[in-house]
Amino acid sequence: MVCTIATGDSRMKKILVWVLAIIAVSCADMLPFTGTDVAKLHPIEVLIIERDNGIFSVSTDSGITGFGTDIPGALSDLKLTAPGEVFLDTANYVLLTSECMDVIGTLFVYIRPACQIYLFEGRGDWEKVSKYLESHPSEATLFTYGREGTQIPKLIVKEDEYRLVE
Amino acid sequence: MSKYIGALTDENISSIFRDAADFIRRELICGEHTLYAYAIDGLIASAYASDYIFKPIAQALRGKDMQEVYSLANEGVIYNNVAKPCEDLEQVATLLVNGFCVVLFPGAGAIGYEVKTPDKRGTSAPEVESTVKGAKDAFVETIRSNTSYIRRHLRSPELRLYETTVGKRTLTNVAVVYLDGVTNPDLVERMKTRLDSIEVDGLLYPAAVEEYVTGSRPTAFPLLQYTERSDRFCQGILEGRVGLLVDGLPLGYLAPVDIGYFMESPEDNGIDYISASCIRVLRYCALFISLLLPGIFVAMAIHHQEMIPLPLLRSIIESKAFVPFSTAVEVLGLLVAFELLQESGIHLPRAIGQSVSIIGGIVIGSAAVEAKIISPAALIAVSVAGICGFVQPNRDFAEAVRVWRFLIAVFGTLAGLFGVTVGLLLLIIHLSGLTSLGVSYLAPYSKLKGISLLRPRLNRIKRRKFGMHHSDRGQ
Repeated sequence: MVCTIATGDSRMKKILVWVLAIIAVSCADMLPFTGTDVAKLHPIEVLIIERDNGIFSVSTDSGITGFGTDIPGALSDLKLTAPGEVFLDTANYVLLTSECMDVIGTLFVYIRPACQIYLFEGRGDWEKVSKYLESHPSEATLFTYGREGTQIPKLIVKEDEYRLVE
Repeated sequence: MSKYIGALTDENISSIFRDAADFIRRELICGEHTLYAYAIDGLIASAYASDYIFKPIAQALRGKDMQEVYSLANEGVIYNNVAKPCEDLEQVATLLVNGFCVVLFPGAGAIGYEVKTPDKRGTSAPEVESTVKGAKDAFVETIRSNTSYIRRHLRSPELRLYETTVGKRTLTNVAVVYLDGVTNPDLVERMKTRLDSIEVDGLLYPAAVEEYVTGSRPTAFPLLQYTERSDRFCQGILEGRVGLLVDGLPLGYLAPVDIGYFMESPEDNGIDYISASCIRVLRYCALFISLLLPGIFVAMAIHHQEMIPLPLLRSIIESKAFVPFSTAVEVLGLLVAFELLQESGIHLPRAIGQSVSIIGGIVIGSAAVEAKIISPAALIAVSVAGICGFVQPNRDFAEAVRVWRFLIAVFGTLAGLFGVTVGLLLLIIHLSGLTSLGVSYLAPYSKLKGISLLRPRLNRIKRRKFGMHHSDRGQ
């Protein structure tokens, strides 16, 4: 088929060569741009970071949890347990316990600097916390905390009740 | 050089139309002389031929010799409106196929008398460019009727009609229409040169006219604007453009053309300038949405998910649950399906076509979503882009946009928003290289004063449109 077409109009031949080249590059996965189909994503809005006996646990509002001796390890474990590709670019809120304040600096690599940070105490339904936090935004973000040392508000969580304390 | 060689004799004329069952040949006795009359049945009105040619020949035309008979016939004894002496066989043949009755005066010459049949399609309202308030006299297939419509709207004595024939076999009559003193003479000469350089067997289809006149450039974008409205055609002539009428096509063509013209609708001049301006802005927005929405959607869904607000992203992810195809396959497949649906609607009879459109669009679309074959988000993106494409007043322009929409979607699939940007830049580069009779396609946007985004108030328009290099710029 290629030989037959190649004997035709030269302009068509040039177009065909380009099309075949693009198809070949696409099939060989050699395109410089790689993407992930949106259906495979597991978006996260809230990240909850705790430390217990030196082990970090990173949980999300979708109910998955990862464990590790450090934050990168915990996030790697989180990605392994997720039913899809964990998408941290959609994270809007990070909740940490007071024991985890020292890891805030390492979060810049994984999460957007505009992500709001809170200290928290207690246990609750993490799926619903994003709605509360949306209506009570914090001025402390990763960026402002790192640059200006903005005070991080404290979130008291008790089952389905949430309360922000400055 | 004449196609038919030989003297003007009965045998030579009859041989041109041998085996043509509609060819009429009559011998007429004119005193002591014998004349021959020829015509093509179906092209002439028999009653006119009988009353205005045969009757005066039989009753009034008398002369000492054939030369005198010929002279009297040419000078009005045969009281027909149009009488054209024929110099050669080719002219005889041309007149016969154009509804003339040719009378041969053996030894003296031949004269063609116009007795065209009045049978033609009656004046009707435009089918595509319909308006609520505008005129309802759309062009018909007969070129002379079309020129009469133009004359009724544009009664200027400076209106010029240059007529020629194009097509070696079809001998299609073509008229170049322009306004002397307004239209740039260079544009007229270019159009005439283009027509004279066309060497084809026939000019029967609109695509043939457009490609041959514009030079068949490798572009999907139209380089001639067509209209079925005589008032719009006249408006174009008044703006200094050159018009083209083709016998057999119920269309008038205007050139040069740029993108600004394709974004104007006949309805714009039928409503107040505020409403028209709002609709025109909407039309531009619809153009960009139609062109870019599928590409941006697939680019963001594959490469730039972080740009999608989280609630929308979650909604898209949930809608794609159990859908077996990737977003790229969905969008590109839906674009192709959309085109198939439109194409099927065109080729089917009107009653069935409407049913197919409803079944295809609503039933199959809904069924496909419920069966989780496609996601609602992709369907909505492609449908909105398609509907925005229907907003464009010019169908040729909208079809070109559809082609580029597909290309930009492919670019977006491969390289995200970078690819979409590259596609858009390629489109702009392509458009900037197009010219229509020497006028740049992007002429209105090359200098800000030419932009016609809003419809100006008519009493503020003091100059003709920018870019035409008119002989008379003022109105």
